[in-house]
Amino acid sequence: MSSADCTWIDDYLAGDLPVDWNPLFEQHLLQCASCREEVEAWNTLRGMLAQAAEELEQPPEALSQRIAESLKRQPQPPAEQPRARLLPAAAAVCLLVGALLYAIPQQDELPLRPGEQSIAQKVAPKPDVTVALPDDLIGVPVDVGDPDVTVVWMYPTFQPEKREAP
Amino acid sequence: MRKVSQGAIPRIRRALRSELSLVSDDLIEHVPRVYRFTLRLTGDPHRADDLTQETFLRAWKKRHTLNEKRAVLGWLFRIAANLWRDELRRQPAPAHSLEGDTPQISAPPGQDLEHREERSRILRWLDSLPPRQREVLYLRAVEDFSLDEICDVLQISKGAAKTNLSLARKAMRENFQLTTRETDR
Repeated sequence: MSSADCTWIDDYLAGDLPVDWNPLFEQHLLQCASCREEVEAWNTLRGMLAQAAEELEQPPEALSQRIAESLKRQPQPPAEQPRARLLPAAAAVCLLVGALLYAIPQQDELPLRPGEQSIAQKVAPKPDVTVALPDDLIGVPVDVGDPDVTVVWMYPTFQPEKREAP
Repeated sequence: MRKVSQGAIPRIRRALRSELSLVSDDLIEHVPRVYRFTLRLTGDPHRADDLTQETFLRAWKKRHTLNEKRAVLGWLFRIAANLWRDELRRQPAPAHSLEGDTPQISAPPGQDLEHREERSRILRWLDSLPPRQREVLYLRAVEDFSLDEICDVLQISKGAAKTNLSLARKAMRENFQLTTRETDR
């Protein structure tokens, strides 16, 4: 083991040396008095700091009590609001109904005469209805046997709750 | 992949919530450690007291955002550090002032005065370090946090954490050596 391993000391003490390198560095420690001294000093420092903080820096006795009481006074966090989650579905239903109403032929148009009926059937384009669904809904058209009525089943998809950063 | 019926989802959610839910006792047990960390941040027992309270209130309100119950201490430290950063933005802190305050808490009866003075001196050295070095050293040496956890709490890069730790360690070591030399004279 060469003295170049002394450069590992910072990573070793920071706990950032790759796990399988630790035994190599510990081997190095057996041969390197300077690194060994550094590690011993670090261990002593840790012990003394932890002991000093524990002994001399106890929080005021009433602090935990005050905090516990103030937590009890806090209102419960709002529960998940199902109504808010149904909004996209409601919006999609409105869109669909609007689109269907638009697609239904107006009843106040003049009736077609016999010859015009067949021409109208050939010429008139079928209305294409496009309904944009929100991302968390899956729409499946259902055939109900009536060309003028489209029924769409909508399935909500499961989305994990988004979490805020504290 | 296992399929889950739609009806099972609310049950799964309820179970997850109960697993993650924090009762106030889970938080309160960390008050001493959070207080000591806020002492490192603020350098002032009164501000540390306020910051600790604020940290727990914020944590309680945001407890549904905690992903892992085991990580609660790091999460509390992060909240404290964020609150303190916000506070500094609004109103810069006065110079770190723990020097005279640290030994104000009475020592356990029978404790050797010299021993206590030594502990107190170490804390003074710690608090005389630049803020970042002080925080990194405290989290690593006292709380035994990994470098990744330290980066997460203080919102700094791994390189910065490592550099600050190394500088803090060397500064503390110099203080030790100086004191040893003075004692030997």
